[in-house]
Amino acid sequence: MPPIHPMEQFLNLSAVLTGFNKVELQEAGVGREYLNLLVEMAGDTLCFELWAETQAIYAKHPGHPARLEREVNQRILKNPKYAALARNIILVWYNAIWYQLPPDWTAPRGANALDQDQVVSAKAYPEALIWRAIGAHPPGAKPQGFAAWAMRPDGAEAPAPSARPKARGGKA
Amino acid sequence: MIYRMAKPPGGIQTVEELREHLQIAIELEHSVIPPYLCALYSIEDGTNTAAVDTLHDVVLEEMLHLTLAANVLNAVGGSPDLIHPEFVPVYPSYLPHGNDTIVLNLARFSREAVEGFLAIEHPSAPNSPPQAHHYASIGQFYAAIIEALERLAKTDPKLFRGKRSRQITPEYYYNSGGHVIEVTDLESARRALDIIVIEGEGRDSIYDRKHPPMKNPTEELAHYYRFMQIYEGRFYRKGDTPKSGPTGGPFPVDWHAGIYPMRMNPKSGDYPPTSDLWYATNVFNATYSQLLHVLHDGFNGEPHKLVESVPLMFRLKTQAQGLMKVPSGHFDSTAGPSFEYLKSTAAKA
Amino acid sequence: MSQQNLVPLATPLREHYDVVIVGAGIAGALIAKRLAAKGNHVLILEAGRSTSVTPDGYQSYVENFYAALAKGTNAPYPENPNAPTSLTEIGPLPFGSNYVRAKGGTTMHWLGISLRMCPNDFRMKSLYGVGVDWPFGYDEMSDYYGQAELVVGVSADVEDQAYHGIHFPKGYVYPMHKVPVSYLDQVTSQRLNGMRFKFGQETYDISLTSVPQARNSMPNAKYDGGKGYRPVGAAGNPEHGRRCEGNSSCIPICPVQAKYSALKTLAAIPASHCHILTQAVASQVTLDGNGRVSGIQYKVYQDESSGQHTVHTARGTLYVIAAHAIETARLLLASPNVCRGSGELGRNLMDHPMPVAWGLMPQNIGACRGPGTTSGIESLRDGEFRRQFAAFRMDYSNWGWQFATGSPYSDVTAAVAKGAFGKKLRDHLASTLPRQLFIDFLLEQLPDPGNTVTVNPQNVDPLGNPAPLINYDIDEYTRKGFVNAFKFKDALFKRLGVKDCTAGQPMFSAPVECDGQMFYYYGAGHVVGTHRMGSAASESVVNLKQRAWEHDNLYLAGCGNMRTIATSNPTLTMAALSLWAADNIQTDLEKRRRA
Repeated sequence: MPPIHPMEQFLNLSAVLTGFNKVELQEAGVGREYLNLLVEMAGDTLCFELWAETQAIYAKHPGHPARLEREVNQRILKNPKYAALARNIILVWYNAIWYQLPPDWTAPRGANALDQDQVVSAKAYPEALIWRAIGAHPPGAKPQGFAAWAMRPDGAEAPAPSARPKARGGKA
Repeated sequence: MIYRMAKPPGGIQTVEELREHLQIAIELEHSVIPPYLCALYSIEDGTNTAAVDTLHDVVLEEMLHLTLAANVLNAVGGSPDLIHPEFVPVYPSYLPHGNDTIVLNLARFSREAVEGFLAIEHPSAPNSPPQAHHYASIGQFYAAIIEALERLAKTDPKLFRGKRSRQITPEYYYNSGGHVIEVTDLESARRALDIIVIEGEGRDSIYDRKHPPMKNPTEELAHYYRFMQIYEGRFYRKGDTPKSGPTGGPFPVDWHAGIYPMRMNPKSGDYPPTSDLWYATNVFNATYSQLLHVLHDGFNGEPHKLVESVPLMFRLKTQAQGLMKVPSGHFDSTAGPSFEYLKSTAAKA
Repeated sequence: MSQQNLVPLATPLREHYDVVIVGAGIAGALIAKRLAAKGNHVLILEAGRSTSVTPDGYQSYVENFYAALAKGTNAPYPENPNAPTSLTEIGPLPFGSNYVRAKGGTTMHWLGISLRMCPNDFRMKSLYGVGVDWPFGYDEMSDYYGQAELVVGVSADVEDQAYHGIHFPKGYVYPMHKVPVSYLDQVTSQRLNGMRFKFGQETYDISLTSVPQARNSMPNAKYDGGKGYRPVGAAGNPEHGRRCEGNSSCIPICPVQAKYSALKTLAAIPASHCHILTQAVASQVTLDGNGRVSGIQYKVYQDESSGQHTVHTARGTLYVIAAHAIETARLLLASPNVCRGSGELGRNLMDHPMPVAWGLMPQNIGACRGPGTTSGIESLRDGEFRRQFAAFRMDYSNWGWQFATGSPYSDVTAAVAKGAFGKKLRDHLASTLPRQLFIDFLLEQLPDPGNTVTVNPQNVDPLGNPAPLINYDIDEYTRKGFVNAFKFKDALFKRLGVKDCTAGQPMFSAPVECDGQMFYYYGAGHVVGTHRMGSAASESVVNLKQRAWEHDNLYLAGCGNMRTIATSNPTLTMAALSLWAADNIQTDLEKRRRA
């Protein structure tokens, strides 16, 4: 078995799970922080097994996004061993929030005092990918600039020429 | 190999040559912006705030200088062209039309980078002549333009024949701060070009205006001296001169922490075409090209379009800083904004 | 969390001030600035902390906000046990509003909407037979509104703002042009063109109007006879915040201070004439034998986590309580024999009960960008229907559903829980969230003596100050307003082609039954009425000069002076009233000096 590089496989898996490619994930600059968090919450052993699983899937289907998705769904997202963790990986990338793992995860493994709903950190907050996904920005950070909100959002169709909004109150 | 923009040699004898040189002025003002932006963006948010403020202010003033040069060119009946294939230099590049001693790099914030900025903004040597090409300092270049304007105005009463509606006036200039001047005659043209010089290198003093400011001297320093504060790690204070150097309190700079290790002079060609990083680099270039189109349209009779430049500038920052966090595969460096013009980009409808 | 008392004052406190002000919020700040400019010596006592005044301190608030899981209005501002804002509620209905006790006051977390009241709002009793009249009208307020619009820096275009009888002096312009209206507003106003709606017995033209706000936009070159206006940047960091950059977090904090907060006014007051003491909680207004205020007793604490404090008394020629409608009433009620004559102290508490609705626009409108709101529907702020039921104004939100549902995070968790992942997840989010429309209604309440702030001496904070108790209900007049507002909502959504997604109880809202239907509301944070002004001592706490009837050296300032709330966000009105009070105080001081 070739050596497993946790960060590389974490990014590989995260890319399939989130629909953001590896470069987009790296642009967030929070990969190391999230990886450390996962290990803290789920333990070294389980994480390592997850990376090994990911590596095996990638080795089987290099460069086939649809097959990768199918395999990840079957072998990871739907696998009780990894499912809750995999969902949390999606959520931590999208929301920069760690959600407490469900009772059926915690029960057999024992509770972890750190495992509470939390924003990962003030540094990670602006890197939540949901804002990028919807063409917006995290409130309080990465402002889009004066009048940006008045402009047509990316992906929207052009508006018909509009009359200036007039203030008319009172009875018709 | 350092890029050199191909330009016809020679001085400014005719109105056509005047317009050519004003176009070069626009290219010159633009050419320093990507290097300043790379240094600025490479500083992690929340760190080196004094240096960030300096770089940010300088960039805003360069945008103003770009606009002032465009106003002068428009005033003398020219048409600024920000989207021709050679408008954007290929970095590393010599300062356009200069004497090939000043090199522009796209590089992260560092002592070397700031040293390079000092060279760009270096005040003209005393008694140095106006120099329309192969100049040693930017001040000499503008001196040649001003001299030509004065000379041509004497013989051509219709020199300032440009349509007034093409001028960028304060209500279209959306950057906070900055005093855009409508150019309609020799006097206003001179004033506009004077601002460019004095804000860059000062004039016989460290300040960017004739009279020393009342309060907050730091904001009123010419670019050269603002960079000197960073380089020397000291503030200027009242009474300091170009000779004395900064003698005020310590100017906080951290040369080591909180700086993205961007590779120097990145290119989309550093990565296999259609790879994710090639694509991400070109997403930045598309935004940048869109910005050039917006500025081009704004400077060519549609000043109201300039409002679109503000969100594009904010977007540049987000995209550039994203790239600077991605390992480039080249030693320990990260990717970065390559500021390459994409021909296929048209301005957003 | 411990917080040391900050930078000691450069000069020691005076034995005696011209004016002692309780509260470093907008009312106290505006009054202090105007009086200090006239050469008076002013002391401001502020219960809360001073963290926000340095760029680093302010940034720490921003980072609190980033790291907070529940991003409520006070997420940036940690609760301070020695200056608490938690309310004890007696009922019958929850009072949803809160405020900020710190330098800058509630303007730290306000949205910034700066609307004038309509002329008819001052004459509810005469015109509609409900509520009460004010002892003066819009015309008397007009000049002070203009002054208030300058001191907070309001962005609006006058052409949009003359409706429901609101009028301006000839040639008047606002200091800055309106904040650009959002793409959502532009798309909507096309569709609204020509909409009419029957409300009560009349039919009204419905239109979308840009909303005036205290948020830096493009300066209006015509302001002040062509002198123009220079936007005021961040307090202590003036090169920043001179233009809104679309941080989209006005509530609860503007990271660059493009939004007005009282910090800006406080920063502009010369220290030579104004001392601001923070972590100094006014605990009692003491009277001398003649019923005049002899001093303000206040408690100074060093550490927020400890109730240890020292007790002091501030003395002045005149006193101003500007501590917020709830805190001012609380302080006075905790002080024996103060302002008790009319029996109205603490009564007539009003807010804007704020029901909300949300849905999906048929197209991408770029939700979650820009200031909280850039336009609203003002068409139903006044009319004959006010005889029967409450008027409202409607905010158009640019921020999607976050307020009610926890979007966008909740959309992600819901989709993932259903098994969505990868490209499909990303596409689903990209195709739905940018269409999110959210609206809220500010419903007027009539003054009700049964809606009160009181104190219970048994219920004290760590400093020994009694906490405010809130009695709050929403009457039939306003409940009918809910019903009619939602009828409007249905018509509006239909007109816009909005898929109505309003369902269930929005996060942190309270239920209220109206006409057999269940509605949910929030408190808008617009707390008014608790020490109202009037022309008769029998039914008001302060007179037309905003001076306490019984105590000739005591003035009260802020929203508590307002007799009705009507539909406008009250801050601009109370800012205008505060400037007026400052002029009254100055006249009073001059008279005393001559005597």
